[in-house]
Amino acid sequence: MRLELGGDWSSLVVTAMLGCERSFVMPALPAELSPLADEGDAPEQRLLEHAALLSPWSLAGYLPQPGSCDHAASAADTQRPANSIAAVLAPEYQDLLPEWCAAAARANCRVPHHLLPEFLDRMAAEKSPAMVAAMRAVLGARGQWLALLNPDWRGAAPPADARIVWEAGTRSERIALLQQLRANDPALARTLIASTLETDEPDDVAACLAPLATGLTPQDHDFLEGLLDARNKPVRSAAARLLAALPQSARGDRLVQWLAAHVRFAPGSAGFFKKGRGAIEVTIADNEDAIVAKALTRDGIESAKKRGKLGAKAHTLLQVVAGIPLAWFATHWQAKPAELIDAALGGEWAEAMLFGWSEAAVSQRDAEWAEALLLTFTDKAGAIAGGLEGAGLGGLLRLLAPDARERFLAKLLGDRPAAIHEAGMHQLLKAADHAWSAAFSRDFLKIVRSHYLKETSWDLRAQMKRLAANLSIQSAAGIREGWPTEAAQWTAADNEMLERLAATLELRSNYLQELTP
Amino acid sequence: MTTWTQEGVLALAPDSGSAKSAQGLAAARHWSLLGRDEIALWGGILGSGSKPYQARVDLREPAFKCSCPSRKFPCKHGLALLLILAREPGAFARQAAPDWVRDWLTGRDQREEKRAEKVAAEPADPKARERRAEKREERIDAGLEQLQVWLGDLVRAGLAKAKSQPPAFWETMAARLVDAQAPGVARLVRQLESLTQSGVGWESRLLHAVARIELIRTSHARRAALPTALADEVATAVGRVRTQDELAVEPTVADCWRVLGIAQEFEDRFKVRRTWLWGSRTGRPALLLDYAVGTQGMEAGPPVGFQFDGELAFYPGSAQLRAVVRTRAGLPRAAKDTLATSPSIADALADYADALARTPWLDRYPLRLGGVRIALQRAEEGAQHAFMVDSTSKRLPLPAKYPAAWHLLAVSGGDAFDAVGEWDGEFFTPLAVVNGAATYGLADGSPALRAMEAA
Repeated sequence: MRLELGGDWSSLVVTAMLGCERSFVMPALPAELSPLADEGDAPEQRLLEHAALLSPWSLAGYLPQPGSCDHAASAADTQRPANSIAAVLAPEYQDLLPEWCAAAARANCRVPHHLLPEFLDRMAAEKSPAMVAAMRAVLGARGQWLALLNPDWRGAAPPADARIVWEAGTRSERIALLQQLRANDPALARTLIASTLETDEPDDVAACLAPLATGLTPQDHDFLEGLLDARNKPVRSAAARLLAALPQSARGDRLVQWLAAHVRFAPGSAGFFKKGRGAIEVTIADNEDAIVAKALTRDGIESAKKRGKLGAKAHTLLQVVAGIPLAWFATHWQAKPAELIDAALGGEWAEAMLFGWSEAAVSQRDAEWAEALLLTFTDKAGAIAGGLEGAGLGGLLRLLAPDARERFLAKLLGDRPAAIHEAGMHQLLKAADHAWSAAFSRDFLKIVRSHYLKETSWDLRAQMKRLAANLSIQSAAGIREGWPTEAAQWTAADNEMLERLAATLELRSNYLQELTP
Repeated sequence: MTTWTQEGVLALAPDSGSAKSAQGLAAARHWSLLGRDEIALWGGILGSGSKPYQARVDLREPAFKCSCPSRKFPCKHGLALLLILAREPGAFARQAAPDWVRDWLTGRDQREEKRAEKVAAEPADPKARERRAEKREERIDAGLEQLQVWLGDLVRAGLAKAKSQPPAFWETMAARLVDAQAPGVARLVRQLESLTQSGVGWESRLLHAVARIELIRTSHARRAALPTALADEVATAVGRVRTQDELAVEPTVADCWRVLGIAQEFEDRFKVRRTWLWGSRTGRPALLLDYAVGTQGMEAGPPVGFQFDGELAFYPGSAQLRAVVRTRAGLPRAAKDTLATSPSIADALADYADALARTPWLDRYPLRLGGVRIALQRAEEGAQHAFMVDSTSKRLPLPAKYPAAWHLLAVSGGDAFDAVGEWDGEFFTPLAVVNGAATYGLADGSPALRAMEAA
C-alpha cells in the first residue's frame, strides 16, 4: 500500500502553515489511518494527530520519481593521472601551476579525476588565455566531458562551433574564442570580426582586435590598414597598435617618411682609439602642416597630446618611432642599436627616442634592441627608466632568451648586489619567469643570502616566496644553509620564508620526477 | 594484522588541517625515534618544546596518546606514526616498549577491566533505583504536558508565523524539556528552529519534525499500552540515558561488522558522529553514536571500509539500530567481501519503510544502493540539482548543497557505482562509495575519491 507523495500531506502542510485558527479545512485521513485517530479533541490537537499519522505514512510510501541520466558516460582517458597536482592547487603554490601543466603535458599526464572539480574551478577563474590553454591540455577526456556539464566551467570545455559562439556569445566569450582561433585558424578570427564590423559597438570591436596580436602575420595587414579609416578612435588605435608589430606595413612606410623629414642621424667619427659619438637631430615645427597632422591622426598618432614630462612634439616623435620597423634603422642609418641609443642620449630628444624604441622592441619582439635598451636603462639612462610605460623594464627583459636574461641579471647583480632590495630589480626578476639554470640560481641565492638583512627585507621576503617557482630544483640541496639566521634582525617571518622556499623546491622536484615523460 | 592504508589513516583525522600536517610529518627522517611491537607504535619527534614529544598508538583500537599540547584528537603525531606504518613499515625498529609506552598500555587495559567488572557487578539497591525512576517519569510527564500545549499553540497560530519567532521562543521550550529530563525531545525542539531556515521545502520539513515530536509525545502518554520494545524505544526517544550497566544485560549480536559510512555534523555545541555498520552475516545495520563538546576530539573508531569481528549490544527498543561495541576480537581490517546492496532504489526504500513501521519517528536510515549513477538536472533558475538514478530509471535527490556531487561525477565519469548513504525521507546523502570489496568514505572527500579512482 503506497501513497503518492504530495496529495494528503501537501494539503495538511498548507493547513498547518495557515494555522487552524484561520483554516478549518482539515484534509480527511486515508481510510487505513482514520481508525487510529481520536478525532474528538480541539482543532489543533486534531491537526497534530493527523500530522503524526500522515508523516510516517507518507514517508514510508515515498515513491522514487522517474529520472534518467541525460549525459552519456565519458570517453576513456589515454593520459596517465598525476596526483602531484593536489599540492599545486593549494593557494600558496599557485605560481607553480604553469610549470606543472607544461611538465604534465610533456609527460602525457593529466589531472586525476577526483581533483577535476578544484582544477576546473581554478581554470574558470584564470584570466590568461595562454594559461587556460595550458590547463585545457591536461584535462583529459574526463575533464573535458565534466566541463561541458557545468555552466560555470564552460570556458574550460572544448570550443563549440566558432560561428555560433560569435553570434550568441558575450564580449568575453568572443575574446576567448578569438584567442583560441588565433592559435590554429587565424584567418577565421579575422573573418569573424569583419563579419559583424558594421553592426557591433565600436568598443566591442576594439576589444576584439586585441587577441589578433597572437599569431599576427602579414595576411592581417590589409584588414588592419582598412580599419585605420574607422570613425571610432579606439578601433583606429587598436589597429595601429597591431600594425606597429608587423615587420612591413604601409603605416610603417608612412611613419618612416615622417621620420625622414623630421629626424636626421649623423654617425660618429670612426677613430681607431676613440669613437666619436653620433648625433640625432630633430626638427619639428611648432605648427605642423595640417595635412601631415591629419595623416598622423589616421595612423593612430595623437600629435597634440602630452605624455608625462614629454610635450606634444616629443610625444609625437615617440609614437612615430614606436611604429617604425626596427630593421629600418639598421639599414638606413647604418648603425647598431647601441650606437643609436648613445647618439639619442647625447641629444635633447633622448626620452622620446628611447621610449619609442622600447615600445617598438616590445611590439616587434626584438631581442637585440631589448638588450641594448636594458643595458642603457640600467646604466646611463637610469634616471628616465621610470618613465617607461607598460611592463617597464620587465617587458624588455621578457624578449631576451633565457640565457641572455640570466647573463644580464647576473651582471647587474654582480656589479651592485644591493639592488636586490630595489623594486626595479624585483620587476626584472618577475619577468625572468623561465626555469632558471643551476648556475644562475646558485649565484642568485649567494647574493640574496649575503645581502638579505642589509635592508628591511619584507619586500624581498615576498619576492623569494614567488621566485621559488623559478629557481633550479638543484638549489634544494642545502637551501636552508648560509642564511643569517643567528642575526638579531632575523625574524619568524624570515624563517617562514625559508621554510616556504625549501618546501616549494621539494614539492617541485617531487612533481617533476612524477612528470618525467 | 591490519594493513593500514594512507586513506584509512587519513579518515581518522579530526579535520583536514590535521590530515595535512600529519602528512608533512609522515617520513622517518622527521623522527628521532620510531619503535613498535605487536600491539603498539611509538615515536619521538622534536616539536616547538624543548623535549621531543612522545607519541604512541595502540594498534588494537586504534587509540592514541601524545605528549604534545595539541587539543586535536588524534593529533598529527599519532596520525603521522600510522601513516609511516602504511608507507614505510620498515622504518619502525621492533623492540621492547619503553616505560612510557608500557605504562600507558597497562593503564588502558586496567581501565578496560574495571569497566568490565563494574558491568558484571550487581546493581546497587534496586529500591532506590525504582524510586528515582518514578520521580523521573513524573517530571517527564509534566514536561510533555507543557509541550502539548506549546505544540497546540504552534499549529493554531500557523507554522508560517513560526519562521519569524525569536530564538528564545524555541530555546525556552527546549530548556524546560531538559529540566523535565526529556533531553531527546528537547533536541528535536531545538532542531525545529533551524528547519524554519532550511530553504525550499522548509514547510513540509518542519511539519514532519513537528509530527515526529507529537508521535513521541503521544506514544509516551500511552506507554503502558505499548509493547515493551516500542515502550523502550519511546523512552530512548524522550532522552532516557542508557547506562553501561543497563546495556550490559542486553543480548549481544556477534558478527563481522563493516563500517558502511561515517557522518559528522555540528549540532548546537556538540559534534555528533554517526558510524553506520553492516553485519556481514546477520545482514543488519547498526548505528554507533559519538558526541564531543566543542573542539574536544573523539576517540577514533575504525574508518570506513574497515571491518571487525565483535559483539554489539543494541539499545533496547523496536528500532534495533543504535548499538555500542561490547567486545572486539582482533584489529579492524580492510573489508574484503563484496557489500550486499539493494538492487534498486525501490528495494532500498522498502527496507526504510519497514524500519519506519517499527519506529515511526525514525529520522534517517542507511541505504545501500547498487548500480546507481549521478544525474544532473537543471533547475529553472540555473542551479543544477544532482540525483542518484538506478538501473530502473528511478531517482533520489541529493541535498541541494551536497559538496561532493561534482567529485562523484568526476570520478564515476557517468558510469554506475554502488553508494552508501543516509536517507532522511527527502534527500539521500552519500557517505561512501563502494567498488567491489573496497569502500571509500566521503566524509573527508579527496582521499576516498582518489582511492576510488585508483581502483
